Amino acid sequence: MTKKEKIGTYQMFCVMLLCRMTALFTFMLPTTAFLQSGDRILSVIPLFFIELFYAFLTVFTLKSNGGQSVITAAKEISGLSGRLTAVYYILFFIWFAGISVSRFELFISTAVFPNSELYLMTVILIAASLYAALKGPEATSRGAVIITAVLLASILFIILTVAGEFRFYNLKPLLLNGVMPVAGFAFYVSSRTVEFAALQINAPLIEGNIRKMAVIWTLSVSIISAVIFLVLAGVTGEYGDDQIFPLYTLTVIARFGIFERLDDILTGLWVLCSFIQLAFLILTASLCASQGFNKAKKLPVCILSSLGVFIVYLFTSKTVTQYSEMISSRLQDLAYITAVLLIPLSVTEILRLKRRKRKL
Amino acid sequence: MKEIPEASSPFTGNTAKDLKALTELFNRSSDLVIREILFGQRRIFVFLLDGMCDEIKITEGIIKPLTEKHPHSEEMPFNEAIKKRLFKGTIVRSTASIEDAAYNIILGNLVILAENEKEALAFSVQGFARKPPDEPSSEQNERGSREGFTDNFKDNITLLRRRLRTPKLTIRQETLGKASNTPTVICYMSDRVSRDTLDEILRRLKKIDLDAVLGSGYLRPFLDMSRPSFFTDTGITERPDTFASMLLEGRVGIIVDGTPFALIVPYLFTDYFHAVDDYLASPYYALFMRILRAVCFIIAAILPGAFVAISLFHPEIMPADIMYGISAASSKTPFPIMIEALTIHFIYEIVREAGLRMPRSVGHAVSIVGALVIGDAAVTAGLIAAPMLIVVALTAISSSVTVRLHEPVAILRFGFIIIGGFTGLYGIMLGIGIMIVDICSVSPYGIPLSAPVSPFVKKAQADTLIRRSWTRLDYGKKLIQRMKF
Repeated sequence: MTKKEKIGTYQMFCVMLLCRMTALFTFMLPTTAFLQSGDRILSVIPLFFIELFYAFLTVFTLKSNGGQSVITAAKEISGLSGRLTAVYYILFFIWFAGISVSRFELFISTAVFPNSELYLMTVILIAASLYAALKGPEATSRGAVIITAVLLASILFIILTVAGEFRFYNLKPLLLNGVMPVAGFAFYVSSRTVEFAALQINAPLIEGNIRKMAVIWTLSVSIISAVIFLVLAGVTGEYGDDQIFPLYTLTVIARFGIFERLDDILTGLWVLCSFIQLAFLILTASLCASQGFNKAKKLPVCILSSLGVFIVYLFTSKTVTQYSEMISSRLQDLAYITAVLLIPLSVTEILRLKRRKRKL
Repeated sequence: MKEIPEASSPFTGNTAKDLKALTELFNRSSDLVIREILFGQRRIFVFLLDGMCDEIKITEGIIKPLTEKHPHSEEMPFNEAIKKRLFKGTIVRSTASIEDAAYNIILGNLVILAENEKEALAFSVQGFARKPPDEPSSEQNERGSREGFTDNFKDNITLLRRRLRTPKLTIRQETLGKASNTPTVICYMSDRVSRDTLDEILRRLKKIDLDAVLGSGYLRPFLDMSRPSFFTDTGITERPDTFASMLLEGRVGIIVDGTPFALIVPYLFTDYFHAVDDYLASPYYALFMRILRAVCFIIAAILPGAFVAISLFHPEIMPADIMYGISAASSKTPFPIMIEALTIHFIYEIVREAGLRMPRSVGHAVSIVGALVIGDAAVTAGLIAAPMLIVVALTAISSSVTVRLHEPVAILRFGFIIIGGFTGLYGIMLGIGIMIVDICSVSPYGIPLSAPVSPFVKKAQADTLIRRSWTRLDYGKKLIQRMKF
């Protein structure tokens, strides 16, 4: 009885949603400080179109490449281009994972446990994610489905508990600084993730209609973001604008019966989301290696990827401050566009020309 | 898979030589009974193991006809005449080798070897002491059957046949263990089982090369398909009704002689929260009980760890009055709360183990020592805080609700206490994440342990958390193969 390493579209949907939720939990940065809280809700509209664009682009390139991943397609052009593409994606995912861990550490150290052993906690997180990654994509994605259900139920619960604090006047004024900050924020949120880049790599593992999944995912993410931004703006108002982690602030305000602190629910959710995200990124990095380099073995690649994540974390943990985040976010925009836009389009086009030439 | 002995030493026809060979095969074991009877002019030798045969069957069915009737005629060989004329109603098997004859004797059959014959006859007269079907000790129920599996596999097959009166119920017997030669029965519904699954199970059973199979637990590592995990692919039941219902879902059941605990393959995680009473009570009550069991599992695994984490790192989660109460109680004890939790749970496991192993006559003494000395006196002496004792008590009771999950839960509980003690809820949540992925990673025979929750199988939801009414539920709708991925 052979083992089948395939995941369903809805499982991929959940993994991608958890990755996005991890990013959403930390969306507030100085780059967006001049954005009024109500404007964030409006930013969901351009965000939806940007995501939709990425979604169609990803689906288009995957379809043009015959469903194979961007690395396998690059390999078809030449072995060297395949390996170079693999290296780029491996570094991209490891770097992004490292940055995520640093952000998480910032959250832990500033909001939750200021006196905790940060290195120990980070090592535990990375080790746990490595364990999950070694269990394989099916296990991680199945786990993601369960965690997504818990996540959505918890978010709904938090929203219900703070609903009484919602004030419509907190939403005003809209578009005080014009349209550009709104569009900028939308672009900023969309490029702080890796979902479509990961989809480019994981596509061969997915069973089902990827196009449908990508569209539904984009719509769902937009709706969830809109709801969260709306509640955030309506409840925290201007106070939320100054917070590093406004969602956390929201849960600090939340109360339920005799329980006066619900922030630990968010912390727990964040831990679970980060765990799945990190495991998924380590897995994706190992998949890049196996697609680019035939002899790459899963276990050593996963261990090396985890080490890489830890090294990136060591370099970025002390600098994930508001200023450096501004700089790194520009770098991240560039890296993200390269991974989602430039490489897939270039590979698809070159491959198309090569195939045409071969036919002639 | 072993063993029907190979015919390496056929009977020679030289009675003295064959007798010696057969006796030596048993190393002159004292319970090997050999009797010589005169049958007309011919000597015949009777072999049996003392205590393995039914004496009435031997006397009335074998010895008496042998000594009273003389069916031998010149036209028919001696053994053939005995089989056809004398013992028409008894199961008789010819055996041509000394090893096979010995094997039949071991099984509790009576073997007859006539003088100068090259073939012995084995008569099915097993009659060893059997435990009658009793109420299943580990799966009590309120309204269901009171019959549980017994140690004897034939009785268990009878119990199963009485519940599934259909020729589709297929029984395949194999013999496992080189020394124990344990009869092992593979049961399945021929029209519902997945051939792939069945073939894989048979292939795995064939690979077993153990000296002895003295319980169904011996087979579990061979049937587990998953990589190292806290959770197993194989379920255990001692209830024939549960076993029958699992077969109806297309699973494969394995009954091992000598144990009332039968194996079910594949087994799903949600099965741990199902009980036979769910199908006998009203659906809304079944739903309530299933939620209750799931909550009990979470309490049993996580509560002590979460309690330690909250007490040490996040006391603000609790309402102020409770927080002050716990803090006041904990401040009077000499040990850190994590050490306290580990110690008291370790003691609980000792008491539990003692409860399992001790003679029943001293049960009350252990209960008194456990409840009064360790519980009450330890709190009074200020060694353990009362809230911790409440947590342990709740954990212990919850653990008993999902008793089939005790093995992983007992270990996970210690893990959660340690991780909660060092890293607070952060570690607890990571632990939960690992546990979820670990459960999801087990995929017995292509069917994920976490099915039908994740992957989500809509049709199977009729009997996962909710149990739909019998007017809308039938086994055909939840065949295990539908969960194959």
